[in-house]
Amino acid sequence: MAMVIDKKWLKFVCLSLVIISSIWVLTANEAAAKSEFPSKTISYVIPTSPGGGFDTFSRMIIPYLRKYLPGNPNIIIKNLPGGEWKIGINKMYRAKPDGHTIGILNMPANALPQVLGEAKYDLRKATWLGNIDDVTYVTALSLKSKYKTLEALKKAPVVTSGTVGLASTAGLGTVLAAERMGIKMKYIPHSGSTEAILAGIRGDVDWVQYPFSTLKKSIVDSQDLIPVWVYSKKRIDQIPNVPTIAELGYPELVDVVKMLRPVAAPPGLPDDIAKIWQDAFWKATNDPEFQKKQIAANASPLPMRPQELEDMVEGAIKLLEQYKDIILKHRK
Amino acid sequence: MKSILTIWVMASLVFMGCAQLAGNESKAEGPAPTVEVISPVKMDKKATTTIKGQGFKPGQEVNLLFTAKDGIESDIGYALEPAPKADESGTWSTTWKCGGFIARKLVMEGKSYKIAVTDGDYNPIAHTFVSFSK
Repeated sequence: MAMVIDKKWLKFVCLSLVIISSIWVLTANEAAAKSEFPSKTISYVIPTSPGGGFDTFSRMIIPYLRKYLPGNPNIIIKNLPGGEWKIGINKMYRAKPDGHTIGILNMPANALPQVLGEAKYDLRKATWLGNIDDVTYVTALSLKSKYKTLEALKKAPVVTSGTVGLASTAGLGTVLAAERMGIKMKYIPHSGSTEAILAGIRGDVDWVQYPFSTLKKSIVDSQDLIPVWVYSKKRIDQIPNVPTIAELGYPELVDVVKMLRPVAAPPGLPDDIAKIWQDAFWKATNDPEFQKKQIAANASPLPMRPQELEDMVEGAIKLLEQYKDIILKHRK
Repeated sequence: MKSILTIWVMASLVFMGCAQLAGNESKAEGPAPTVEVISPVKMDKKATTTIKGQGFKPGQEVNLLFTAKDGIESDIGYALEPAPKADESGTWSTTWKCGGFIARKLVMEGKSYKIAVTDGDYNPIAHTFVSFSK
């Protein structure tokens, strides 16, 4: 009799164990899936050196991304300068799509290698998370330049411009704007914006074209360079006497010469992790405290939704395809 | 029935004991890794300094994280020559081109900044501090 009870009891225990372990496995898997991100330190790739605009604004947003990501994860910067941005972009693009690697880009310039068939990435496939700001460019002339007006620039046999290269939006915008305005421009490459601006101050080049935040010191504070136009629909408050490019008869250039600082993750990021990132980015870039810091640094906050970013990328690729021949001419 | 339960409990204890021993094994290996840096570093745009580590596993590759004045950690691997990798004796040495942080005012004279040695997933292994002076 005792043996019969033991067998029944044993069956009961075994059945209970099977049920309990099944429930445990299922709930554990579900919990693991939910807690996979973030599960370790996040790498934020910056394809430039420390201290430039991309590094500065990335450093500025990181505390806010941490604030809005679940678990307040650690985020470290991984500067990967060189290769005209391609080293850093490739690092981000080829990382494991688990949400632990993201990277900042320079748009539309970073679409150029793709348009020219030189990139090992397709920006249309990247997972777009958010945008930090909208950069307004200013063209400034050297005090030592012979040319002081747009008309004089148009008549000049050759105008020299200090740029970092066509891989930067500043360089690309310079080439496209000069071409559109009929200015015979020769661009002189420099290792960085600081060096190019110094060349303008020294009179080594006639023209420099950089973000207002980058040029402010030279055109507002020290007045070492003369601002001649701004690439925006309305004038900049700090330089109210400087006309917009639209006022000078080239409104289409407002959309050509501008730069965004969007942030992306590798292609194939799972939807649930992408949503966590996109929500955190939206909240961080709309955080009043963060925006206050951006404005203090002469930046224009421009939070963007993923769909807007995808449209922007598509637009940038189409825009550059339109100017492909001009760009190739200037690369020779 | 009792014997089955006894065997099951004993097996579990043996398994847990082995797992615990395996977990402690790596911790018990040799002295704890340490890192040192030549400091203070001159506040020069072309400044470099040497960072050395010892007590690492032979062949171990590590990352170095530098915390700038804004409190943000940066992987400085791009500015290290050679990439830090422990030799057979568990030591490594690398030169850090730190002038970029000085030129861009990401460090201040007289202040100390952390340099952390981490594994590939940025888990900390050891750390030291570097300062900058004129």
